Amino acid sequence: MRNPLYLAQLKRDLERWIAEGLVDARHREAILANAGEIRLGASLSGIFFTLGAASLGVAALAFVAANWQGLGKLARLVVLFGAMWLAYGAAMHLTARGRTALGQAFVLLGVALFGANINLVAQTYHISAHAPDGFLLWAGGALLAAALVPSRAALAVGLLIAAYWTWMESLDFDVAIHWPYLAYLALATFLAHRLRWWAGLHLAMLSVLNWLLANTGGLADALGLEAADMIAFYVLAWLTVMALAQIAAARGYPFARALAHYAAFLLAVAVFCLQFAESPAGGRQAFVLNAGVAGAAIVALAFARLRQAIAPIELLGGLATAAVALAVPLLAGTEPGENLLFAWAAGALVIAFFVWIVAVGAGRDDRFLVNWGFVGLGAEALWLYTETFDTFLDSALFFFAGGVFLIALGYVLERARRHLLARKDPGGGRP
Amino acid sequence: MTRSWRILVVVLVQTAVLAGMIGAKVWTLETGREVLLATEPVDPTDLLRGDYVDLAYEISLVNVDLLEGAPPAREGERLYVVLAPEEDGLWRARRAVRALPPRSADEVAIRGRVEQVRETAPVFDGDGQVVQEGHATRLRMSYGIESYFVPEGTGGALEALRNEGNTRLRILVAVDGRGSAAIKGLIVDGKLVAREGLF
Repeated sequence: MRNPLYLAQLKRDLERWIAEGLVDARHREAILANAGEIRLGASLSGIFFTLGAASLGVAALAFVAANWQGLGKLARLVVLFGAMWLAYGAAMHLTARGRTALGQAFVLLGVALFGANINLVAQTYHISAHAPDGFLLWAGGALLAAALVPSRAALAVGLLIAAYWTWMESLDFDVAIHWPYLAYLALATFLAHRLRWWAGLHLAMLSVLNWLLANTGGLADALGLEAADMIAFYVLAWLTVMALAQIAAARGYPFARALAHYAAFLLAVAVFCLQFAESPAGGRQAFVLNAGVAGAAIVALAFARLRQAIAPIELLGGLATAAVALAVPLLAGTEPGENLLFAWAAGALVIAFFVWIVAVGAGRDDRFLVNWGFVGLGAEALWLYTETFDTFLDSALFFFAGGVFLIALGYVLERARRHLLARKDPGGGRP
Repeated sequence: MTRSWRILVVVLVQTAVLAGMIGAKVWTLETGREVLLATEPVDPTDLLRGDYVDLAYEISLVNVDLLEGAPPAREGERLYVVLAPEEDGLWRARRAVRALPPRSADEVAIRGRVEQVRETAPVFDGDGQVVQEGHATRLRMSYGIESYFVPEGTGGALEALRNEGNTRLRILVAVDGRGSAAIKGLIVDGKLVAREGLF
């Protein structure tokens, strides 16, 4: 059936449209029935075909592996190439006859066999090249299939293989910054956009996170940034992305809202980390770099405001966040918590930031931002409580007070969240 | 172009990639000059992964003094190691350079990647005897000939031979004019026991 989240959203929107007179109430059930129309045949058969293709691939590999010793090189090549050609041949045959779902499954099988063949050819001819190169080759083959056929499943598989490729380069071979992965990711993202496959764009965004996780240390070294500068850099960079995404959303680009959510998520994580910053920071060079990124953020925010893509409160909060991010590396103590004034001020600023996120979410009727803002507030309150009372850690008082504090905090935050969402949305208040 | 034709393009390109892998290796086997390399024991905790045997050679460790020109070698860098035969018939490293060098008639240049720059490692002579205790900087190289795939469960005998030192197991390697290398055969106790080719 259709995405239940989409249906729930549509239901809420319909109520509003009916109330505003945009939609005739008599059509409500018909619209919901149409939107929720179960295209079980297509979707289920697609899933079964895909699972079947994967199963066939595993069976082929197991058969070959079990009989490998008994096969001469020629026989091996016939099996390897033959299986791949058969899979793609079946895909061509079925596609030409309009059996698209089954054809796609065989394309996926072909991509899987291509990867297996890279490995088996390497075995047969004792090729022990740089190991990640094999995965790059496989990911490239998957991307080619995804682009030409076109095939969403092949694109998803390509992105997963490429993620493994970059992890191998970063973790097993200590590549400080794995730039080539970004080129692959750019192509894959462009393709997902062309296919108008939003799940693929989400996968691409998760791939960006994957890359950042593995490469942040290398990036900081390359840019000459200490930890505090790097966190500030991320705050400013994600602030810029968030503003640009809001501009794109205002122009009606469908994935822009999701992109703004990713940016808000990463921005919030970076702001939360700002309070753990230590100095000395990277000095003049780092400040100049971050000032440049702050400039970009300010221009993006101002442009977004001019295009009416963000509200005044968003502009003001964004500018304040940029200013704080620039200042923090200069003000932090040499050890976390050494500068108590900084610690308390940072805590207050983080709370102010999450209140701002909640306010922005409420203003935009954006459930994600509201929920995320409350999660941040809860996390910050817990952090401040732990920091303040950690000297009592071994006493019953800590746990008693902590329990009361947590229950009260949870109650207050949840009430506030429900109140905000209910005010914006008659059926709201639910997670 | 219809979708079927596009699938045909995919399968042709992917087949060409696989054929290219095979072709490059066979080209090296067929046109490359044969050199005989001594093997070295490998750490017994990392002997057989799956169904292949790890191979290490004398030339897997190259003394940094052999590298010509600046700057110092770094990990991940591509180097050409010039090999020449010695009296015992084994080929050993003479020098290392960054670009494919001119060679004399009795030399070949094998292309490798610096996997690690090792400090203070001992140096062995041809018989596996320590001739220098530490304080040497050596480059651990890989040439794409470090794995020999065997039928499942048959790697043990080969490992035992390899770990007896460099006297019993020799690897016949083909090195082509571009520096690419491929395992061409296994020699045990002076006898060729396996030979590689297209089929």
